Amino acid sequence: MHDAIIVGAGPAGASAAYHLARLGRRVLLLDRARFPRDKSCGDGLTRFATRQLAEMGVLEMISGAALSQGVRVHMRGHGSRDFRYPDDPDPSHQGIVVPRFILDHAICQRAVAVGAELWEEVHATALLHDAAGAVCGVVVERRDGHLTELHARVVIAADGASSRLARQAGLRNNGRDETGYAIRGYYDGIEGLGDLLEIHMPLRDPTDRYLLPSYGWVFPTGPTSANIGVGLVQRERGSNVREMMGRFLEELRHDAPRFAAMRPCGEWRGAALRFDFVPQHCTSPGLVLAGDAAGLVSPFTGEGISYALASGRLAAETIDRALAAPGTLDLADYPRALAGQYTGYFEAGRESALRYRLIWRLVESTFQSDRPLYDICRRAALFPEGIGESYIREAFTDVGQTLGQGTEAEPDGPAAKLAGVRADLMGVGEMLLGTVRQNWPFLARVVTVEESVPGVPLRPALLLLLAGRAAGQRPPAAVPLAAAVEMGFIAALAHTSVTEERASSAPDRANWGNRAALMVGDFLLASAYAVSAEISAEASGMIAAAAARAAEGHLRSLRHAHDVNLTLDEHRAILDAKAGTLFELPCRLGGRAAGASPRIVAALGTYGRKLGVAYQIRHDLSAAQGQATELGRAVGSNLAEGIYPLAVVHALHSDYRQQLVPALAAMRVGGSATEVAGIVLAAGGEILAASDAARTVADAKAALRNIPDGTLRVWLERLADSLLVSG
Amino acid sequence: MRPRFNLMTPVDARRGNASEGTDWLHCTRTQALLGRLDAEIDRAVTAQDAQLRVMALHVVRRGGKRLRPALLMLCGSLGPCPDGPLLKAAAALELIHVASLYHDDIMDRAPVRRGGPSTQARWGDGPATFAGAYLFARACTLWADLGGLTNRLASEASVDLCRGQLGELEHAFDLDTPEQRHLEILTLKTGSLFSLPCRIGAALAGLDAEAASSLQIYGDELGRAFQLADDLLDLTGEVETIGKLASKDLREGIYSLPVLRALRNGGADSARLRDLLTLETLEDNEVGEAVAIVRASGAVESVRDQARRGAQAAGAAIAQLPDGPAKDSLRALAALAVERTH
Repeated sequence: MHDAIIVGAGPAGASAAYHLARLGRRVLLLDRARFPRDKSCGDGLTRFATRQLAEMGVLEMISGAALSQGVRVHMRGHGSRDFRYPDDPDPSHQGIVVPRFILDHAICQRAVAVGAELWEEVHATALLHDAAGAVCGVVVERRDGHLTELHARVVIAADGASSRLARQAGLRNNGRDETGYAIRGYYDGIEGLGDLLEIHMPLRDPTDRYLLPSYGWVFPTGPTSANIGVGLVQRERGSNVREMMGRFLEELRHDAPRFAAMRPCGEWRGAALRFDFVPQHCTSPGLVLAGDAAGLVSPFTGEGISYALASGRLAAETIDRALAAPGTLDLADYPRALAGQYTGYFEAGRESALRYRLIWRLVESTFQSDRPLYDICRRAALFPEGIGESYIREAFTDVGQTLGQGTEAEPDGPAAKLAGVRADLMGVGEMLLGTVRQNWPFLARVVTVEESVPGVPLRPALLLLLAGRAAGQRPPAAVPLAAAVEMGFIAALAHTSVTEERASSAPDRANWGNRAALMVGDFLLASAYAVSAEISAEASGMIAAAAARAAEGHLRSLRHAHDVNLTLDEHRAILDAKAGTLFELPCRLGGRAAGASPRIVAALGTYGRKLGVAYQIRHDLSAAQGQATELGRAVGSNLAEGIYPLAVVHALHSDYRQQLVPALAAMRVGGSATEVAGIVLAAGGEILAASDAARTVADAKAALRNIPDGTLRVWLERLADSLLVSG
Repeated sequence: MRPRFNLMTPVDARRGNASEGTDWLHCTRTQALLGRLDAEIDRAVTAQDAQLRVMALHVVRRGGKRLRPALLMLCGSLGPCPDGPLLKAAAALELIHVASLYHDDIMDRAPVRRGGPSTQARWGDGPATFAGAYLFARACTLWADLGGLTNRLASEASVDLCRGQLGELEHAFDLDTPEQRHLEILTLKTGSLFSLPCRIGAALAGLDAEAASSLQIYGDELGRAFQLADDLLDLTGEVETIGKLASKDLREGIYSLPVLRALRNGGADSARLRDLLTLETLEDNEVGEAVAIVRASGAVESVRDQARRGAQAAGAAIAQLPDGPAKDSLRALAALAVERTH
């Protein structure tokens, strides 16, 4: 008897088969078709997918796939935006476009190569149940109509969107309204195809009066060829997907000359799309669903292969553990792991069409904004992994190396301490997730740093965890307190994203961006307060005082927008209130929670404030040099809004003032940031700002003199020093 | 679905006279305390920055109904409770309420608040955002000063208020929002700042668990009835104001209970309403048609009945509390909440 029977040899099933076979399990993989076979799909694989394929040894079997460097999203009426992967020569770190005809065959071959047994042209028609009602096998029908019963300890249904087995097991609602539909065709004779996957959203409604929850795609498969298709999140209003496809092609031909001469290669193919992923509906006794059968498809891009591969692997690993454990087969880890990984993206998939309308309006009204919340939301909404993940990886300064220098593996040594801090950070992440998941699952992707992202991000939570330990011990409430300051931090990030409506070109239209920014900011601020209130009124008081001070700093900063007479003293006071408070609070809270003396708490507070100021100065300098930063804002957009970084303020108080004032004024009407940057550079503004940062770092370290000597103090010193070398 | 409490009764909203014209308020102590509220709020707004102080107080100075502070003082007066904590908690309540108004006005792009320019109309969206955050933070400081229980109750209500708003946003354009979910959102969004003063008043007055729980039920019912009545005014007011009030919510996908009911009635009218509301942009005549369908559907009457039943339930919840001017005021307020015509 086999350990597992897997029904469906697409990416989900073959991935499960591969991983189970690698784990030494006896696996039987069944499919109705004979491979290679064609399949309706966009064929676009994200980096998350290629990385998994590389790990499985499949990527090297696929030759001649077109590489993609990211995604270009066209928003109807709002132009386009590129989301590029960071430069990386490793092919497993890039996206590719490969026809399913080739891809699925390769994964299957790989699964067979590591020991899975593959039966083709057999149709699993029914589940078999044991006396206790658990699934224990399937009935298969061969091409000649012959029926056979096959038994196994567990069955994985990877039989696609229309999953017959899931339906039989009662794991699907039969509502047809949860199903979308997609059509694709291959086209040749296209010019000027770049190295980006293109997504157009939403598709035009023929009457031009309704918002269709839909998207179109153009995925280059070669220099002049592409997979082109359309997806409809919800079938409604008697919409005809073939007609939509026709209109989309017509629009491409009409609007972009590069498509004028395109010609079809072969027939269109269509397939149902399911977005009804619910973690609890992914298992029943003896049965596990994976891939499309579990409804794991992105409602915004239609992407499903990376989730198919990942869910196949998760299923395999859960099953392997469950088979090894005594007693009845416990598969509960699988929905738990899926929920943990995809919370907020698919979890509310039942309402995906509804959410599409809301999120479309949100993304639409903020599409041209570089404000931090919108940037993060856009990536989180459109790309639950891949680009979103790499963004997070880049955005937060990784200080793991800084802290970990020269560590050794002693029981209570630095390495163990760092592991403890990392574990606490994961706890903070879980708590953030728990806070937003229930109320606003979509936000979950904004607040979490995924486990797959290595390193230790320099965020307020980290400072709280380090400060508490530096003061003598890990505070008992370290994790919730750190989560509270992190919520406060993200709340401020959200509030700074509110855009001036008076400047809006469409005063009568709802500003969905501001609405979301305010609600998210308010919700997280209130949650920070509520988490602290559970710990102590004193903690609430400290957080409230810091929030008031930071708000005051932001207000003063806004009031001095475009103020070329802003004094250095006022600028420093604003930096202190805005940026200093952000790091001062966690340091003080950490110290206080660890029971440190008022003197030590004050010293930690000073350290934090100075660190925050130095961090902000460094951040502005890096942004000026065009590097990715966590606040996500291009320095140009800051300048255009009249929020001047320290380097500019220095230059305003130099001999270059006469040149700089008109250049800054020009930026209000679309002038170039390059000119400003040139003047600031010539004036030595950056050098002066850097020396301010150096002085502030020295002040931060001086404050540490009052802290007990040890690993933690060394770490805090290194953190301060790291702000000098980077950038 | 936007609360417009200042429409409730004609109020003399001048500073220091906040309680005048509130003919439902029979409790002289509460009236006296309300007269001292402004000074208490002034003390709480301690910003160094002079302009922030002006921004923080400019709506507070216009008075308003002070409905939540009054509720708190009434509940606090049902038992022995010194003035100090009552005033402090009342100031915190008003600050939280005003903070939420600042942010509401940005979201709704409302030019006017309490008879004068709204904060963002006067200073801009960014400054109004941080002025609101500042007010909220100051309120939290007051709550924290009042101690653990009050602090926890206030923090829970703050989160509930935000959850209600997020819930509303989440269901924007959702034609099939279940009624139960809709009412849950109402309770979180409006009810939280009605039941919080009741809970804190009961806590400060040292009332027993039973009395505290009756007051909480009273607050929840009152808040919900109040909001239902408020939403009805959008649909049933004078013809020229209907378009303006209802069209904004309909265009922005915020559907009140009568709209959701009319959608669910079935038949040709429901189908037409559904079709209208799915349009990406609603023209004026289409808004008018949608409102007419809702008004003709019978949903307005059924929701009005529901609001009245809620107000009665609020009154019934406090029947066992000791008689006196505080209780009389609470009952009068419940009755008034749903019989407003403007």
